Amino acid sequence: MTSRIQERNTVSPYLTFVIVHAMLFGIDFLLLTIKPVQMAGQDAWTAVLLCSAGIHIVIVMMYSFLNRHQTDLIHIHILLFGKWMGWMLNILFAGYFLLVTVYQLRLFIEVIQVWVFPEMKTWSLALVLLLIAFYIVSCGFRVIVGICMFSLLNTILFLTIFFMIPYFHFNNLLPAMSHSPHDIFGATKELTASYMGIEIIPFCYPFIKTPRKSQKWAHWGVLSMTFIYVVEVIFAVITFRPEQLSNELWPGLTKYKFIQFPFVERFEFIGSSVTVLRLFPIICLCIWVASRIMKFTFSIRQIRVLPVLLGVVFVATCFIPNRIGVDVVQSWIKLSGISVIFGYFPSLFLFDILRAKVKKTK
Amino acid sequence: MFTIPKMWEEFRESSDFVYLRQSNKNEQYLICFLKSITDTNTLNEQILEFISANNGLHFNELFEELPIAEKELSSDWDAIRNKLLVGYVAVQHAASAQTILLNASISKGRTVSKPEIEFNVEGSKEALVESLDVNLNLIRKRLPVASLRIKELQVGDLSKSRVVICYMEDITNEQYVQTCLQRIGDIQFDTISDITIIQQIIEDNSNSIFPQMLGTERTDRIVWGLTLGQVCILVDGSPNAILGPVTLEHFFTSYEDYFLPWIIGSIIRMIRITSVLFSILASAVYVAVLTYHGHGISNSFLPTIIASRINVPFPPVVEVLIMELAIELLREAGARLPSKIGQTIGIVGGIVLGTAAVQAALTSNFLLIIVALSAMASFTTPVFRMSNTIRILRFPFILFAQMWGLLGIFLCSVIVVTHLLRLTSLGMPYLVPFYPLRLKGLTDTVIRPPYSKLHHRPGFYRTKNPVRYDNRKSNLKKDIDE
Repeated sequence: MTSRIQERNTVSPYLTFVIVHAMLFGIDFLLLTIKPVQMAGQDAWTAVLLCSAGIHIVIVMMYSFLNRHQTDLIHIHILLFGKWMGWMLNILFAGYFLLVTVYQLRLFIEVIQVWVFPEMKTWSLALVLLLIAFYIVSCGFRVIVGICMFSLLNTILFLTIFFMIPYFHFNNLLPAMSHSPHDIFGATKELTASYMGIEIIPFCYPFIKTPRKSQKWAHWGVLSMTFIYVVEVIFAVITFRPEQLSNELWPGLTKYKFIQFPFVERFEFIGSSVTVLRLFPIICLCIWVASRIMKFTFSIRQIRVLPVLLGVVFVATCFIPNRIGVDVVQSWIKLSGISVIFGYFPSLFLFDILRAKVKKTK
Repeated sequence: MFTIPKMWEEFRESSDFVYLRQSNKNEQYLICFLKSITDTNTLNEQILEFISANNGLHFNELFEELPIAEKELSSDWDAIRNKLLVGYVAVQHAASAQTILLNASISKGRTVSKPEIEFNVEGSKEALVESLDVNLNLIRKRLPVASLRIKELQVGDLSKSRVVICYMEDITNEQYVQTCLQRIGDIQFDTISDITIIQQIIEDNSNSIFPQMLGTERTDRIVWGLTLGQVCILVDGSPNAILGPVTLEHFFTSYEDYFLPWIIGSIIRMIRITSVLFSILASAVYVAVLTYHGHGISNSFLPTIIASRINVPFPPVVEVLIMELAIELLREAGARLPSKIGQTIGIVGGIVLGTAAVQAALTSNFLLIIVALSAMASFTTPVFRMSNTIRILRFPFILFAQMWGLLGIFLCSVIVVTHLLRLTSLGMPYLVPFYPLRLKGLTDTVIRPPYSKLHHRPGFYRTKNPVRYDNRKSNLKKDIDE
């Protein structure tokens, strides 16, 4: 059942860092700070650390069952739960990844509609973006990871955060640790949505040369993102007042308004257009995984199923009319993301350990 | 009387075929050759004279004693015909079924001259010529080592072109050589008149506008590539060679960078890379900003643009396309005309048309500067085929900018990057050492490092011997006042 991946299609272990970084640095990042800061105020950064710690534990669990079976989650499902149950789970995951794609795509189109082109029709931009995504995905995993790497350029724009330094009020950080654990855990739960993206690792696993070595890089990827999240949250707290922040929809883009160059008056045009670099790694990886699942489930060629999936995504994206629709999808995504990362993976881990023990005693 | 064999009749249709009978007393010889490719001096002074001086010698003894280095004895008609066609002289004797074949070929061509395309200020002024033997001589002279291997193949049913693959036996990865040999062996085209034809046929992706082999006419660049582990392909009749595998970054390095002090060389290299980016993006950004993001321009800058554009009736994209096409026209006209007329056209086009276009309010001064600068910037690319690519690449960017502004420019760059990511050159990724990232390979990319840092060959060539010299011997760590 396990399929061999040819070596020329695999990538080096350190690129796991790039994959994790690109998946976590998505468009969600632009609205990352609102909810946690509303709930935990100046202590939101502890929630970031808590959430990050949880993610690290999940990664350890994930690598434990991946290393045992040396294959991807698609095959593990069938191995552990039998043919039909495994198929069901795989299809559920494919649906989940398609939903993530739809959400990210719609979110990006909303950014463009709010910040750059108010008249832009949803379908026209979605069509172009999905055509480009088709081109990228059809070139294979290596090229997708290359696009992830290219999107790291975006991290440079993160440095523009330092243009806000004159507007800092460090007093906002005080009094420290004044929120109840309940608030902080609530904020942690909200933050999980930002850490969504690590669930892609079990599917990329066989495409990594010497996959055991990649665990270290996955941890580093999460660590670097934790650092960026902490900085982002703290800067949001010391720049905006809490009431101000709750009126913001896109604090990540608002910060571009602080930037001024002698020849560029409004940097947010560049800032919001560059967001497209965050979009492509996520939608390409998600569609790639979904199409790969379809390939094994229905035993058809990946290149055949790809246009179908993109068509589904296109139609679904066009059916989300406005902000309210996006919010609804967002709440689904949050729910499913949390249950996949903190519910499904740990239970799979436990199940796998038990199964191995039972087998041993037999 | 000894007559020409039947099979030779096909040659007699050509007027440059010469057959003469020479009889020394009772020995009769038939001597045939194609006079257009045969050296008559060799024929007269060595072959004919020797034959007449040694009459009475047995045919086989005559063959043994003829003072010509490349000679053979054959009775196979196909072999004789092929030899005659490359300038051999055939000598037959009435008493023998065999034919003596003697090399008296002569090739006429240009002498070695200055590089025309890859001109440089410092360094050697020696470029390849059309004759393959001269080119091989130039390369061999610069690399007097036994490990320089030269493999010859014949390609093309009609042109019978001699194609040569050069590589260093103890350095170059065997895989690249095999790939080249196999792909060249598979070529089916009938006339191979230039190396660029071979390049287009053997490239990994022939539907790409990016060249995946580096064409050069400089012998020093070829030798540099060979010593790094590249394969060089030459063809008889072409004053260019191609080097492979290459990466995108090679197309923006000039060999002259290595002649300058490393700091200056690096800065010039960076200027070149920036200017390429400028050349691709400048007019697209102009279209995007003036069409969609006008309020993104700062107040101090806006009056300048308004003043320059106030009388122009066209939307920015039409204005840009007109100007870009005008520049392309000038360039094409200049390239096709003889150099003296070309200069005149350049002056007429550049100065007269440019000024007149602005005064007639067909275009803005501002745009004229951008277009002229980006045209100049595209010429800084040291490799001609890449500068063609860059000049074409800018049009999709302009169209995307017209459709979706800055977002369109980013979308187009994602497409271009995807395309670059999927390209390979003889199987090596095109964007290496940036993707896949090879930190050690990064030393000689944007920065041209000093020679003390060039002690290893770049790892991405996967050479048999990665060490150029032992740097531990040369690096003496010195403290202050020692």
